[in-house]
Amino acid sequence: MIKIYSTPKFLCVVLTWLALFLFSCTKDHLPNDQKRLGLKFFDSITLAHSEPLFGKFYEKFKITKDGKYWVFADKMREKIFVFTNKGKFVNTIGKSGQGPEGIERIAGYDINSKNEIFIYDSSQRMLKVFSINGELLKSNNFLDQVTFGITPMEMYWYQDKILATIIENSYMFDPSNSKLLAKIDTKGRIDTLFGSFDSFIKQNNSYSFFNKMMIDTVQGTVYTNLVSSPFFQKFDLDTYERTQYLGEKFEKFRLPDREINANVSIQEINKRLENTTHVVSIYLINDYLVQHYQNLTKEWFQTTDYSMKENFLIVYERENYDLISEIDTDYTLGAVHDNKLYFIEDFNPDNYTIGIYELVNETN
Amino acid sequence: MSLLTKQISVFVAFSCLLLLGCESEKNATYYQKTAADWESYVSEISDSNGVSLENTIILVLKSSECAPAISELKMWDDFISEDNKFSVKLVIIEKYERASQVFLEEQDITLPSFFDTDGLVLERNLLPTTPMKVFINGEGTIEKMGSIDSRSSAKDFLSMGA
Repeated sequence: MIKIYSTPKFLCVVLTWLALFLFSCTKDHLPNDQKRLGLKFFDSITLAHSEPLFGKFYEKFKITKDGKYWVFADKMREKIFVFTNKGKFVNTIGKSGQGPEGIERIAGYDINSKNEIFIYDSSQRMLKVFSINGELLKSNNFLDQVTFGITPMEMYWYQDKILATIIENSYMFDPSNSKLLAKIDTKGRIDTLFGSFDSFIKQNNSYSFFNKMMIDTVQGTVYTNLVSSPFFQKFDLDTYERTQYLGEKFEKFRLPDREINANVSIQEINKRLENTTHVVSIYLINDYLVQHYQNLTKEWFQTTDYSMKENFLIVYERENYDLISEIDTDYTLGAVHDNKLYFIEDFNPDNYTIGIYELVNETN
Repeated sequence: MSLLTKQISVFVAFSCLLLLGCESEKNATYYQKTAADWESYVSEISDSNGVSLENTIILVLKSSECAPAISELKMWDDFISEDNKFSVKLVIIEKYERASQVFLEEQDITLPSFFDTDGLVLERNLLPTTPMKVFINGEGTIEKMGSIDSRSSAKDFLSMGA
């Protein structure tokens, strides 16, 4: 026996196990030591003046598949503004008011590969499809008889249909039992309801049933992320089955200390939400899955000035979904296209500036 | 109202409230403020001295407020053209002046307006939250406060009767 324990082969096995144990501990607690990612500045574009002037865009915007146009939704005008990728104003889409071309409340929009833009007008419960030049192609009464609500601004084209995160009306106060996603055609007919809410909703104190989503068109899968959860789900778009439940609770992730429910005043809700984190979006970038988080500061609640929120990215390897990096950013991530990240460097409408960055491996 | 419509309304209202900070809480301690406190605030955000706020209704809201708040603004806009006894002033909390101006233009609001770019109204504890309206009477004291949510007419708010 003594002879076996002292052999080089045995020592090698022990050292290997020891190394594996130590490395696995390191990976769990110090993910940045594995791989350090950073952002490399690429370009910066300031939007030209538009006619009419835009007032306040939503934080997230869309980029056409060919990369030629940047498309923004304006909260003040309830119109879509189209700019070239050089910042030159092209046109607006939609008219104020009711009717086929009229838009009262933009609650979702997306662009397909033909550069057609759908807009969901939640006020009129209508879905409109426009060309990039603003020509109305279709307008349908939408979702008149449905039994669910759509999460604002989370609707995407997928194979000529629209995928949206939802909550069923009957589970408004118990979201954990609701279906999560709806596939709908442009006439407003429901194709499928599927998925269920992240079970984390039962323990997060947030009473928030909003989910963010990202479609992987190559794999035919969709990722969803409850805004108040560090975890994300992956669903197969052929079988509609959940294939994975992923993610890690990281150090900066903060939930409300006290429960938020329907009986709490809005003033108190805002107070309880101060300095909590929530997911703004999830993206697939190169070999990574990136969650964009914001910390909701007191100043944000006082002013609704976007730049008062703190931004950071949580990066997972797509191969094995290991958390590999946390990146603090000075700006809000507005869009991702062709593996480039588009940050809003200045929200001032007189100097609205988009910074283009790349995610780079800084590990030596 | 059907159950379905009611549920959707609850969903939309909660979404709006949570996302945009549409609030409606009252707090009696804010009644201790005076016209002078409000005049000092208004002169700070507008760089103009000598603004008198007696017999004035001040409407304070963020530029990203919900639809009910915006429709009440229109009601006050109509009210001011019909009634000269009171003055109505609007304070918009929004960092960028251009965004506020686009907001006014788009909503076709002609009320005299001030722009609070830093949320100073909350920092100075003049109000507990937004959107809210304050009525300062002829004696310079706060006579009434309320949320801006289209639930009452201008006359009801000022207790003038129907």
